[in-house]
Amino acid sequence: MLRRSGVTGLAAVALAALVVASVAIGSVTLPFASVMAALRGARDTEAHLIVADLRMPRTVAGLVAGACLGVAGVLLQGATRNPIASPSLLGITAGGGFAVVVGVAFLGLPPSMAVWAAFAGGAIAAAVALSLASTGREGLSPVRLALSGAIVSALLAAWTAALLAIDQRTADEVRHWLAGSLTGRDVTAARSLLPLVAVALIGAWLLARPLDALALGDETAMGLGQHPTKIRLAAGCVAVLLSAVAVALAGPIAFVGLAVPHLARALVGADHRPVLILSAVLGPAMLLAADIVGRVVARPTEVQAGVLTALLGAPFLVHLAVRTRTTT
Amino acid sequence: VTVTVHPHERVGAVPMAVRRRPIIVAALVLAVPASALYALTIGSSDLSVSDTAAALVGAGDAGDIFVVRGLRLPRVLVALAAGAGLGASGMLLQGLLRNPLGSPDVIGVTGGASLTAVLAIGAEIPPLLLPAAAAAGAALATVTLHVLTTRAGAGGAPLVLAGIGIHAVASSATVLAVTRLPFGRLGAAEVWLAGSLHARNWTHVTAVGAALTAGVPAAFALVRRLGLLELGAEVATGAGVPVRSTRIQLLAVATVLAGAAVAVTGPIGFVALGAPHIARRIVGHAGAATLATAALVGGLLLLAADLLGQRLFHPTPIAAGVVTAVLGAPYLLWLLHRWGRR
Repeated sequence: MLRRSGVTGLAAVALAALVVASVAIGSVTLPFASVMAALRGARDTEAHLIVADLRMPRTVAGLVAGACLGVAGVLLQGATRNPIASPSLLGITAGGGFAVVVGVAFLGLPPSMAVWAAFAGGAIAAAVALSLASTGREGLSPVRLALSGAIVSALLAAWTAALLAIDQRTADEVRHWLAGSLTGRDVTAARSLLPLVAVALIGAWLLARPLDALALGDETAMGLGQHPTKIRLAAGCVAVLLSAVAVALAGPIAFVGLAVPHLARALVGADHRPVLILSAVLGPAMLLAADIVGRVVARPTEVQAGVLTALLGAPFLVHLAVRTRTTT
Repeated sequence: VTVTVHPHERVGAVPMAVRRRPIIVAALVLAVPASALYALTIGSSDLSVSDTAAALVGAGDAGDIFVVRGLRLPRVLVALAAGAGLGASGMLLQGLLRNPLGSPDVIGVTGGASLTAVLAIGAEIPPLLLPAAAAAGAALATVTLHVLTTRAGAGGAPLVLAGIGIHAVASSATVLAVTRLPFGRLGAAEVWLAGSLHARNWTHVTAVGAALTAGVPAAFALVRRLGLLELGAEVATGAGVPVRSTRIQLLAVATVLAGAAVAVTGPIGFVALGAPHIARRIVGHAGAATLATAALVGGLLLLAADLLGQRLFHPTPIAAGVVTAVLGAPYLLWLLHRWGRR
């Protein structure tokens, strides 16, 4: 118990440091004092403009999107009892991204509707990937799940590419968004999503104990008075909603939802409640770290956070794969 | 020895009525010259079938001869050869990974090729060297995959998962490379990434032809051992198959076939995934016959996709890779529906 709180506390301190760094570091070098002054409300300075209009919004977007992805990954891995489950590997991210491109860029939906487009697209993609994976006698093995998600993602990526090939103007607008970037975010966008995030996070918390029961196996869970199908459905819905928020805020960000729950379980054990809390801290920490690194590695331009999380997270998948000794 | 394999579960395992098989195979074989001839007649100016046939054998109008033999024939041949390579590669990988969803698109072969191709476009190498760059990327991805999984017991599962990871690294690096391309090179990269057969010439035909000449006989030589491997490593070992080296050879041949195809066309989705399923529907699990049918179906699929792309929104052409991806999704849903029923 002490160890859990200690680890979570340390993670929270690290996250706080990353938040400070995210506000202080950027492609324009500002003295730390003027950043602090800008935060305290010194108006009309260049520092205030950069900090308040550029760095704060992307920091807030990174915090919210990262927490959503971390928690969504825990729910998906718990509900499927599958170490590979995560928003990007199940096709949820690709489905949401495709739906946003179609809805906002082509059908002209207002940007505030992006999250619902992402929710619908993510839910459909996840349903297709899960049904593809769970056919056959052996059921939902990690490999089948990963392959189904990869195929659904590949097809959606191709559809997105097809749409963009047809409409060059939209292509220029969404290309950066599709790489998974925190730049150019509007604080109001994150703020309007907060009630939704709060509801989803409460839902996730309420699902923690049922998911613990599910981890013991469906029959034991039923013996404990739980309904495995209902739990899975609820966890899936909450996870897709959280992933949709992340897609709407930051575009398709891969591998945060995969890596963070594993890291959290390695640190605090398998119980869902502490894992959920720690994942909600580690998720934003990973995303903000990727965003900060992306700002400084290729000055004066930036590398999108989503590119960096994939470059760092995909080797983690390879690591998981090599560790998985089960045969197909 | 013909080994008929019925692995644990297979999509499209129920072949069509046995007596209809020869008719369908014959129809497929005949469809190749028929659709190729049709493809030669269409383009920016359409020719009659008789003019096209005359131009093909070198008679008739000099302009027609140039258009048919110099411009359209290489395009048709590249479509058939690349499609055949993808179909055969998909069949080998689905067996190797013991998974009906295996394909070079998901295990990083195509992703690796795309990355090096975009880097090559950024470095402004001569367009003729682009296939070589893409093939190098495909090979690099497979070698990485092999090195990473060689200690993990090399069953299907680590290969699939590590392959998906490599694909993710490659595709995000591709995104990164595309966003940093100089503005003038962006169009070239996007055209390549869409998977197009536009403006293919005899150099492309030679390149993919050479790879297939090496890869296809190798695939047929492996197909019996593949059938045993699909029954499980123990069965294969019992039957005297050197499991480890067979797996490595299968991966290498599948990479040569798919890498050659991707090198000359760019990433073409779904053909490698779909062609083996269609082939198994037609001839069942019959080793060499299924492999041949998968290659045939792959070639026809890609040629048909290219024809559709040229005709659908005529005169605006659609890349063949876009056509296969757009049509691949409904096919996937239909497969899913069939699985669900059984």
